[in-house]
Amino acid sequence: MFVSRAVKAIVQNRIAVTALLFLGLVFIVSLIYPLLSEYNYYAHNLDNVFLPPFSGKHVFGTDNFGRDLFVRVCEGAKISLKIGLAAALIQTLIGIIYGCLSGVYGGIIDEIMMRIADMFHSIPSLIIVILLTTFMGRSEMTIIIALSITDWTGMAKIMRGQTLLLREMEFVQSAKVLGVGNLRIITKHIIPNSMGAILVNVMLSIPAAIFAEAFLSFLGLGIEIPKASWGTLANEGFVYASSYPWLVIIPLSFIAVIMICFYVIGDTIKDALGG
Amino acid sequence: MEKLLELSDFSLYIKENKILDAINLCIGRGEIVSVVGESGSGKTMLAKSILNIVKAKHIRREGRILLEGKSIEDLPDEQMLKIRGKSIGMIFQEPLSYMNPTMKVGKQLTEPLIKHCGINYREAVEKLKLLLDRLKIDHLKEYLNKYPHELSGGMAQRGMISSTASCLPKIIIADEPTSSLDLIAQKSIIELLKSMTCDFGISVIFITHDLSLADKISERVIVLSKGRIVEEGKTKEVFINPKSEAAARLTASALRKVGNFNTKKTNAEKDILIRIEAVDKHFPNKTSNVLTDVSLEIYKGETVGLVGESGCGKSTFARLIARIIKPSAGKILYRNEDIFKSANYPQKVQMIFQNPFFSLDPQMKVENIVIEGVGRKYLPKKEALERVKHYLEMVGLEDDEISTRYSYQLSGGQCQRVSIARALIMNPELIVLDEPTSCLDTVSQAQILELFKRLKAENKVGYLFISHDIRLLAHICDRIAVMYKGTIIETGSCEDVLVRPVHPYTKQLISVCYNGT
Amino acid sequence: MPGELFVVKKNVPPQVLENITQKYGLDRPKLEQYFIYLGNVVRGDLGISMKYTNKSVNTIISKAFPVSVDLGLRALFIALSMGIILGIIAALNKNKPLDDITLFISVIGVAVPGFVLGTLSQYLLCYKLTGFLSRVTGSSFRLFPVSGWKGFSYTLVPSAVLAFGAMAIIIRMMRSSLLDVLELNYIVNAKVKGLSSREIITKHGIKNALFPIVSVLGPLSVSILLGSFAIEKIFSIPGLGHYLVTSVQEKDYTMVIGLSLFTSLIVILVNTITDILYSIMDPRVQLK
Repeated sequence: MFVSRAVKAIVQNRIAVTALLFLGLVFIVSLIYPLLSEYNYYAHNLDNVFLPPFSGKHVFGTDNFGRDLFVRVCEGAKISLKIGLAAALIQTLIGIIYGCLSGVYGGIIDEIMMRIADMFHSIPSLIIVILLTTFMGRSEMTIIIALSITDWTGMAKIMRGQTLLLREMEFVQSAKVLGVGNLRIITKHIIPNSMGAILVNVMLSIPAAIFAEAFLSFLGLGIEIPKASWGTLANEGFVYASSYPWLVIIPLSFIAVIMICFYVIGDTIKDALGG
Repeated sequence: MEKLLELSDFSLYIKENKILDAINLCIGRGEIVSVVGESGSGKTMLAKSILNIVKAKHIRREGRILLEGKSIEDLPDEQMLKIRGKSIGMIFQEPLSYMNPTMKVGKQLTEPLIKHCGINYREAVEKLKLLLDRLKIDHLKEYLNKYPHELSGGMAQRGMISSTASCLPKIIIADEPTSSLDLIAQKSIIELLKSMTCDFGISVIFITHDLSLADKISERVIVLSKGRIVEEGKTKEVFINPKSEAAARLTASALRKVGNFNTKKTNAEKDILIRIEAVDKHFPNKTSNVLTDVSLEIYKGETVGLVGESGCGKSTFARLIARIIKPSAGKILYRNEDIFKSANYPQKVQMIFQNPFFSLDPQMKVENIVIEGVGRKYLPKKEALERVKHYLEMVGLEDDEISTRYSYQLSGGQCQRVSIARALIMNPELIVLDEPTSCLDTVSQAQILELFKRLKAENKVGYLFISHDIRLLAHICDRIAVMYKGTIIETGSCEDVLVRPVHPYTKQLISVCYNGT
Repeated sequence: MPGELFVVKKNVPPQVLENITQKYGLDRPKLEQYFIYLGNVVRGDLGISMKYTNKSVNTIISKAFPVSVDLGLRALFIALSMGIILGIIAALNKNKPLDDITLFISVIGVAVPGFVLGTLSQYLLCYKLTGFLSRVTGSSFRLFPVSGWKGFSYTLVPSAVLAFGAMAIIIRMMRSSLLDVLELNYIVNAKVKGLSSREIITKHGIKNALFPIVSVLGPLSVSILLGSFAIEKIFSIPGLGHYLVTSVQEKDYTMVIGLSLFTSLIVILVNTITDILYSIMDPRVQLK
């Protein structure tokens, strides 16, 4: 019911549809770019450094090593989107399980679980991610894990709130009276009736995760060379901003536009489902 | 009588829908007039139109409103400001939501005085105190220093009325000012309004859906139905001899005589099914006990009624028996076994809740709702569906389609029937019913009560029927227990409790339910 | 513990080595070292930076912290004042052009990351615009300097950019909060009492509409604090973020941990303060 309402709302909103199409475009191109360009993302070509966009076959120009920027942006898309989506989904899962269990059991268990969540919440997640990546290394996997275990508190609090609310509703109480166990109550009553909040939260945590990774990489604390996410590309290009601005502006623009797209879609869903 | 306020052929259109149709009425100086009608008849719209505070798009007004002979129907806002609060005041149904939660009571209540009479805060407080003193509000200084959420409904409403009256307006419009209050507070508010008229000559337009209430406060009544005035006259006469259909309906719901109660011999058996022993219930965030030392015995097959005002603890009691919450002290036994240790309790005791729509999971189809307690683990689909059908028929839902519908596609009465089917499929020995008809319209109410009677005869299932309206219980119960502030103060057969009540609260409750006094 | 202290190739005089070893108990077993470290932390001694010999983490913090606080407070001030005012304007002009413009600004602020705006602003305003103005006027005065933190004009663009994201959130919240409050019953009652629209909004509307904003003040301040890391990098401002980033890249572990701990403490402090602030403002809330 929630999903169909969300889809309907998106389809009826022209801006949301545009956003969705653009996202789809970026996704597809990032996968099929070898068909569009003969270059790869790591080969140095020192004869062709710092070419501006549209120089011959270099659609976005080249960087300080002569690597084609378009191709690098495509690879960056794969990495940024992969990390963003994976982190968002995992943290949503953790949040749902944690919040539901805390709400359903209530009492002391709830108190303890919420104190722990508060601890995670009050320490800025970025700091924890920085610490974790410093000591665990900076691969895609560690960044995904680091982001997932720090930002789940939002979803957990929402699910706990939903659970506490729904727990008092007559249909959940009657399920208890009918003898339905806690686990079934969570899976059959609480989660289906919270799909609205879950969907909204997922859609809004994807850009948050993409942002977190881009932020880290931009500071130089995220994905390292030779692999590059958009944030890393921006970091590399920042040094040359005054002379060769496209090296930093193009990756940044992609970050910005992709995030706007996700936010627009998320906002549309949020308006439709009442947040 | 001098005409104070006059409406002449006044009509209100919202988006071309006629909300009020050619209203003609006049209010005299020092008069109390009641405007009665069912919900949706336009009473509140009328009140808001007089003060021109209807908030909607595409409003069109026709006709005239005259205050002391002068037109006010098309005054611009800056001039209406001088009339609102100063010449015409208004009080609302639920006082707490009409008060600013972050502003101290004293500051809010003196606002009209400060705005209209040009005095400062201190002087305003003095003037207000004179009025509040009459209301026997103790410790005035503390009262004014509180925040709205720290007051009870009755205290807040009395404050609101004093505040509205403090500028000595010519008219006070009271929109259902007592509906959200308990019976004792209701009485004091009515007295207060009457004294406003007697002592200060303030006219009152009293809006209500309860004719018996109108009878207590006003001499004249105007009956509104679908935006039109359908009857007008002396309250007593309209009460006894209603001429319009709307008035007749209002009279019927107000009149109930003691005497219609269940005199059939109970088919209860001798053994005790549920015994509640000295149960206390205390919630962590409330200061006093919700239930104190409650004891009751329920026999197999009997229908016990539990009556009490809202907030007395009835629902908490029901949830204890249904094992939704645990008692803080005392025991609840099912055939001498503690219910919380009893296996298969769901097959012995079931519960029906008050709100029919909230009782059903909006994401589930009716057939899945009904079968939920039985579980589908060992039941093949075909057999499950057949069982569902059987019980749906038992509760009067014979239509095949219904089992694939969702709760929002059903009416309140149908939802409640689904709840009943869901409970019956467990073959319980006792069903706890927590105000099962309060959220239904009068027609559905009657139908559901008939259903209960029939099921009782067919299934020999016992009921614990909880309600705030003793008239309802009188029709269906064998025994009645009366609950007041968390304790059971009286139990007995229907006849004993209704005709020969012992406890003073019981007497008052009966008096209020039947006569409205 | 990241006790591979002397992996860093620095020439440390033997005597200093001896002292450090003694002071921090580096010749004791690892677990004991850990407890010694914690003990020191509680006493406020976060250890010596592994890179900058002779500079303890504490001195770095005492130098960098005021800069970050300065930047953060300016940004918070801009975000709150502009955010609340614009939010009120948007609410009172609902569905009129002024509302649409304000909402558009806020969408950009919410969706576009701070460091993107920061880099773009630096490029456009500080580099291009300021350079252009300098050339045109022939003076050497730079309206928006590109980097550094040496005077008032240096603070303008960084604070404004840092504030933008938070400001956007506040605009949206203030707008919807005020609109919600104006639908409530006590506003109708105020109208019935004869108060004018202006009196209703100022006496009853705004205060109650501010609550949601106070409740997010904590997370908002934290986001400004974290955003400042990127802004400090872009504009080369010597604040906490700047040192934290460089210390990670240089694997200066004690610095990293010291700065992280300090930042976390600040965050907890800010959240506690905002909780207390909220309970003071809202009479319905009691601190447990």
